[in-house]
Amino acid sequence: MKISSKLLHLEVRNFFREKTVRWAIAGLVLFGLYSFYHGKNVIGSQLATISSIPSVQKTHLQHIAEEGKGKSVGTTAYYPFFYTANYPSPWASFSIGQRDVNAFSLKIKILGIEGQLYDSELTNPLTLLVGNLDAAFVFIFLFPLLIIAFTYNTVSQEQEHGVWRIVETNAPSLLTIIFIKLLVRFSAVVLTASIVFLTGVLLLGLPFSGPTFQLFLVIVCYLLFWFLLCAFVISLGKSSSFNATALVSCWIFLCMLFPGIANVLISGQIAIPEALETTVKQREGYHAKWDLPKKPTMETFYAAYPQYRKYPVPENEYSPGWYYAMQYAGEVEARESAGQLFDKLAQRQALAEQIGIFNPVIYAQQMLNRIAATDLTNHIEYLQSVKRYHKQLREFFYPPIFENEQTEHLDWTSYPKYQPEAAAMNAGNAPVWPLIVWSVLAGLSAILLLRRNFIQHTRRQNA
Amino acid sequence: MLEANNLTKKYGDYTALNNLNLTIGKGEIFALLGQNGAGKTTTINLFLGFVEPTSGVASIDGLNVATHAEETKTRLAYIPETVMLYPNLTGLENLEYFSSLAGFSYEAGQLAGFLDTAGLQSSAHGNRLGGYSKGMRQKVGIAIAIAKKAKVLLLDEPTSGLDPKASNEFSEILKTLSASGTAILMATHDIFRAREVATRIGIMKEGNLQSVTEAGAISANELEQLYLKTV
Amino acid sequence: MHLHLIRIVALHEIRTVFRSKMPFILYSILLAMLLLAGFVGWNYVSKFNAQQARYTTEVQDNWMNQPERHPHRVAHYGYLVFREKAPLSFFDFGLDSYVGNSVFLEAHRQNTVNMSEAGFSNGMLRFGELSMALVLQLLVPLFIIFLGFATVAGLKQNGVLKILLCQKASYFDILAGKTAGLVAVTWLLFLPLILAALIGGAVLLQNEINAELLLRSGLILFVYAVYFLIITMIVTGVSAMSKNASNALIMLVLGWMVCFIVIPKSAQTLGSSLYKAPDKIAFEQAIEAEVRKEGDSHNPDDPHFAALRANTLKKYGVDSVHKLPVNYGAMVMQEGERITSGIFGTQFNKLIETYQAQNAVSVILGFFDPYLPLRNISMQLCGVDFDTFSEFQKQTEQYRFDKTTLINKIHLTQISYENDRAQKVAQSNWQQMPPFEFRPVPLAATIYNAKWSLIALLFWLVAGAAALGFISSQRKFQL
Repeated sequence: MKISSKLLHLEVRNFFREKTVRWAIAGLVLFGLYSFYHGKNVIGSQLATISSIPSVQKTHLQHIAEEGKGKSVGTTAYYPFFYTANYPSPWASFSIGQRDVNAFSLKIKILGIEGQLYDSELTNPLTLLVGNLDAAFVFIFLFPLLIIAFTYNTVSQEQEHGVWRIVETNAPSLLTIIFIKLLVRFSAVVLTASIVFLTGVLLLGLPFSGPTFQLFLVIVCYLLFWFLLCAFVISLGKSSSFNATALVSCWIFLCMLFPGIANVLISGQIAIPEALETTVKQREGYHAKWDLPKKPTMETFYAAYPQYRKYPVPENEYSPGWYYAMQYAGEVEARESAGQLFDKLAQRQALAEQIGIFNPVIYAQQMLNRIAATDLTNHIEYLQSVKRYHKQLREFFYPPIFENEQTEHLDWTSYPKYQPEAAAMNAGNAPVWPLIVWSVLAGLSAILLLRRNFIQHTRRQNA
Repeated sequence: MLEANNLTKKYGDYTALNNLNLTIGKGEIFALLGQNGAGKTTTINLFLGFVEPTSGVASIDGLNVATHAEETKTRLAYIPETVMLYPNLTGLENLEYFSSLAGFSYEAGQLAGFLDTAGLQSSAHGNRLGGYSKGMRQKVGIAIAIAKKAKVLLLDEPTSGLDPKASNEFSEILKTLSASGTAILMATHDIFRAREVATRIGIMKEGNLQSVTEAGAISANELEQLYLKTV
Repeated sequence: MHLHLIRIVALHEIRTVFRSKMPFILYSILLAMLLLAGFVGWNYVSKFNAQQARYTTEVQDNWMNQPERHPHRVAHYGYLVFREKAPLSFFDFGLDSYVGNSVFLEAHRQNTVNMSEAGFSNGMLRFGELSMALVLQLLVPLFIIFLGFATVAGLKQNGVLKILLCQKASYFDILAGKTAGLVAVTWLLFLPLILAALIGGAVLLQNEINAELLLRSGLILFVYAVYFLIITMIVTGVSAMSKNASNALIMLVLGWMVCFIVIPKSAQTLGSSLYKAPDKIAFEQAIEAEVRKEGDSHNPDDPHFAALRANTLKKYGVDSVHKLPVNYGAMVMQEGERITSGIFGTQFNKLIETYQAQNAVSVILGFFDPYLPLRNISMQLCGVDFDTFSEFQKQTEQYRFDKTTLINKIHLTQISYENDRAQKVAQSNWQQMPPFEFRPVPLAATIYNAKWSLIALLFWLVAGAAALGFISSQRKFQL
């Protein structure tokens, strides 16, 4: 296949002189700019909240320590909140993912952890419902529409307008011509995508490092898939309106229906009543202890912390050591259903990723969220880290509680600080092979059908 | 140059073209007359290779169109009833595009020369085709044929819808082309234009070539009488 | 305007639609989706409500079966309220998945409603869950677009429009007839389904049918009918303005993208940047600061509580809180409760007002995008809207306050100040407290809340008709 540069050049001119093409590109660039603004806005306000934490935490603890003067640590330790935050990765503003729905900052007391993990951020639910128009949305959902608009009438319009007959009598190889036309359109899409992406990198301040290139790679492979899907529909050799209808239907199916049905399947397959179950259980487990003999409760506690056995816990009156042991015992009782919850969340994510292999739209979205560390996996990791932090905090307070220290004798600034997970900050691995496989499938069928419908069509007419 | 041997095309039970035998030589202009549905366009499509014959052979320059599609394509040029080219490209760019498609690489001056030969005023060369009249587009179509150095020119009702002056210009260009050795086959409804331009005239009815007349041997009136009697 | 000519055009349009294959294929897909979405939604709501009811019973049983306890322990034992879904929420999920499903009510602390379904989702859904309302709101317009994009533009392309216009019918008659024909088809295909689903689903969920439910269903049917008519008018209008069918299709699909994706999303962004809502930390900090200012029950030198002490002592004519006939600790607690609850209420109302102001942007934009008013009204009529949600928050907070007040009263009168912690009171004290029952927003209030969206929808109806009139009067749109 020989492609003359002159032909390519003229095809480019022919394509870009179309007014709708320029409008569409301008529109996409505008949507892109808006999405960067939106992403920056959302993540920026989350960062502002997170950055307010240290001072809030400081004054909060100062107040607590102040009010606790003269009382024991055991009494005072009931009150303080300790703030944690799920820090956004630098790419979060590109693909906000689940960060708007899931809490990005949790405050915890050293009481039983379970009820404290599912506190949600205050957000306008309608805002959550309509969702984000972030850069990932522009690339995953709007760029395919641009590709459809660019390609749906590639050959069909020329057939409808009668130019195609003249092309047919002149071109030695129709495949070459169709290939040139598609090449010009694909280059236009990739060029637009690159410009928008690069603008995004600059505006959002994405670092020039691996994950940024990974984002771009996923996007280009994804756009290639859509492009070849369009080529496939074109290769059926139907009219422009058929192509438009078929392609928009594909878009609706892949972007709306398939995910909708998959979501129903996933939540049906892996139902999560555990969150409520856990809350109810922990509450009952803990409160029942009040009216039970103190010994068994203390034994549960001693099993994990034998070093506190030496402190006396009177059976017939309240003591702080017993109170926190009770909190701990309630947590232990809820541990099983809490574990189930986390298992199920992980299962949900795994199933969603398996399903994603069958739908490039879902897959690309998942990969972008994974790279940006804004997916469910990241949230689970965050919750786990909060649990670990809760353990550190408890263990920090146990000695002064059991020693019956006075509040003013404790250094209220030496409490363990929350360390954001190193793993959560690292972008996950995002293989693109499923996108490539789908692209190859669409591309091969397109070539086969193009040969059948455009090259050998004289023979078919005769049959 | 152009040859049909027992050329037949059937669509199911319907015979679009029945057993056509015809030879058109170098420099000859053959006009096909006939009512709509008489088989004129089918004949042209068979020579173009757009449809495959049910039986018989259509050949160009001695090559069977059905088996040598690629080679015959390079030897012919085709101008449909309405020449629709790319509206966003200029006349010059359209010509450049199609001649590049055909494998030629011309200088800008040469391309302009072809447009001049085809009779398109030079002031229009750089304008977008979207603003051309039908006659102007037809001329770009001719220029494409000239640029391709086609030995055979196939025309499907080229003068329908043209004003008398444009139609006259068109005839002149065809005559020039045939003088340089091009074999021309045109399907037309325009009896008078056909007698004026063509060297031979064939009248078709229901897929059959009923009669072939030397254009010089018949007056316009006689031709009209013959046409009306035949169809 | 000639009514009988409009009828002829309309009937011809209906026949044309039913003769071609494509509408049939598209309709089968939509029908399958509607049935699937309806079934899934209904199944989910019924299971969900059963689960919530189970937990509600469990929590209530646990509450009733508490042993003898100290009242303040009961206050901290607290109560869990589980939100049930509205009977029509299987049709339109609305905000249901994005608002919490349970709230823990205890003394001193106003907890937010937590654990929404969206919290544990995996980000697959960017266009919302597959509900009947989603299909009807987003995909039926697309169906109408595919049905009607060529309705006038196609006639221009093949020259039939000129012939039509040479007959007695005016251009307006043709446009009106085309619109009537297309919308008749759409109504016929979808409205009976909507009605059957609404009434059937609600009856199966509740085992009864009441007047309000019928009225709500009827209103939903009406607004969707109006919505389909508006969309059809737009489709006919754009088709009439386009030179050819494929231009019309591109314009309509582009318009669909803008109205159904871009405007709704940007409306919320615009709303939240116009009216800044505090984040949770700021919200809680504001309350904490105000509570501190008002009176700090922990601080023995706090002027507010010092005054309370002085007044109480004076009232009972004693010189020490130990000598009071009531439990002074409980009195302080109740006073603290009153202060925090009042401050929380004010702050929370402010937050709700901010959200409402944010959401009002989408109501105003409803005059530019017909999808927004319908979306809002549909949510409101199905009881899955913002007002229902904030009503739930308010009612649970009220319930919490009443319950805590009652417990403090028991504490005040039945527990003596001396050796407070060691005492207990009988179960019967809290067994008389009524369980929480949510009172949904009444229909009249719903309609009042929806007034601007309703007006916007009617505006579109009038504007659509006027636009068709204008288009038909322009010569350039006849060619």
